Amino acid sequence: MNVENIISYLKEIVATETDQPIDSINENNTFFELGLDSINAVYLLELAEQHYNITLSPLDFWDYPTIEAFAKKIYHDHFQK
Amino acid sequence: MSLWNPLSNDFLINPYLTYEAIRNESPVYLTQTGEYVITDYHLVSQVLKNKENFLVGNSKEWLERSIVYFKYKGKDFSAIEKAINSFILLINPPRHQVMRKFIMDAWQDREVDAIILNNCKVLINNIENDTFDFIESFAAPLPPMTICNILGLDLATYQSLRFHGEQMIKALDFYLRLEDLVKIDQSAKAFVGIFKEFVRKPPAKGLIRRLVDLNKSKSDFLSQDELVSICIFLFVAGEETTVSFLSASIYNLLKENRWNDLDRFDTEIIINELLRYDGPVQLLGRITAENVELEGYKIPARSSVILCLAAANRDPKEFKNPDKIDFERGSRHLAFGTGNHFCLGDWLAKKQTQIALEALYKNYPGLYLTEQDLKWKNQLAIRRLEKLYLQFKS
Repeated sequence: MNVENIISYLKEIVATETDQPIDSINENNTFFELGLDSINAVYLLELAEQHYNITLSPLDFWDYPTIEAFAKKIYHDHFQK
Repeated sequence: MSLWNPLSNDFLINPYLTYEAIRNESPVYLTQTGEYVITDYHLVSQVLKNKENFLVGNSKEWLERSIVYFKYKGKDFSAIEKAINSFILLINPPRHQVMRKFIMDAWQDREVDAIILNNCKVLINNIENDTFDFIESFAAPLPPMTICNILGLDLATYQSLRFHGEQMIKALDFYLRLEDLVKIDQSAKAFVGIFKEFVRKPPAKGLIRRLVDLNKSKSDFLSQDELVSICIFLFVAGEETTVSFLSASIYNLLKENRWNDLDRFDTEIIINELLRYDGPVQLLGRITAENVELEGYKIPARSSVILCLAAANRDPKEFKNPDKIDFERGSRHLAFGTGNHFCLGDWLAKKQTQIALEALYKNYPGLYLTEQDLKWKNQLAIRRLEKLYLQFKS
């Protein structure tokens, strides 16, 4: 597991959720810019938690507001040895 | 990191440090989540009185949008909408006054002292050990018992509803997760199912009977669904808030070595200061109807605003030494809000706490906190202890 893997998983679920091609998702845009709001954030949080079998905070989306920052946070908290 | 970390453990244990830091940063503080948190006493009071520019109902709107959204994901949370449709704290004028007046008209009977005292006695008698969890043995059961008595519901109904009330209150909280929605929906279903029956066939006596009769006399001015939701509201609003206040009050009195002050001061005065010092409703939501300017702070239209009542009540500009309990200060706190949404059950919360404190003091003049760790529930709007172990020494 590394940050890159997490970034591509997050890109995938954001692309599906917002109905955009995965190549158009930039990991440095904010979730808000990518078209997410506080409701689909609830859903994506649940998907990510289940996918990695971890617990995240609903505020992580806002404290780490880009795919890259969020992926680093997940990696740092749950996978870094 | 942002100053606003309401889901952190530190915040759950002591939110007042965060409130103070945020107030010092800006009395109208824009969080990373996009809400405007207001912590200044006068601004909170101004907003509460300004029903034209600051609407209620963020949580209702958010839940309704979530229900639509999750329907497309194959999850049905529609019971939540049914349960909360007539929660008057989430309804704006002109409907709000009409509903509020209707409930007040039915709720004439305020003679509940004997009911409360009896419930207190039953609960105190059931405490067997000198060391006990105050929440489990007293604070958590008392309010739902009393509400069931007022509504005219029996003990079996009380048993099946009390945990649903605790779960349902999450509907008024902030930053929910999917699992919260699942639990709120479970409890909403249970409440709607049970109260539908009671509205159709009300008990012989009690508030449900009076609501249903009053509605008939007004040629069914409220629908059955609205009556059901009003009953759920009365149950839920009166449960968790009073559990919270009762347990926090005992905790604060013991922690600050003020238990014996129940001998020295009028209980009403003690309660009033405890409501200021550590009231149950910490946060309330509003939405701006249009662009608003609050003493120079600009808030755009359709913004979420979080009114921090508990922070306003510790505003040093309003209260000298706000972090100190002082029974002689005569505080004008905002624990029950102010303006058109002023708490409908303030008298019941105060009366219950008063009778409970007096009964407990009489039975347990030597009461102490134990070394066991406190546990706070994972909720923000209504802050409350989950465990509070006390020890009685004669």
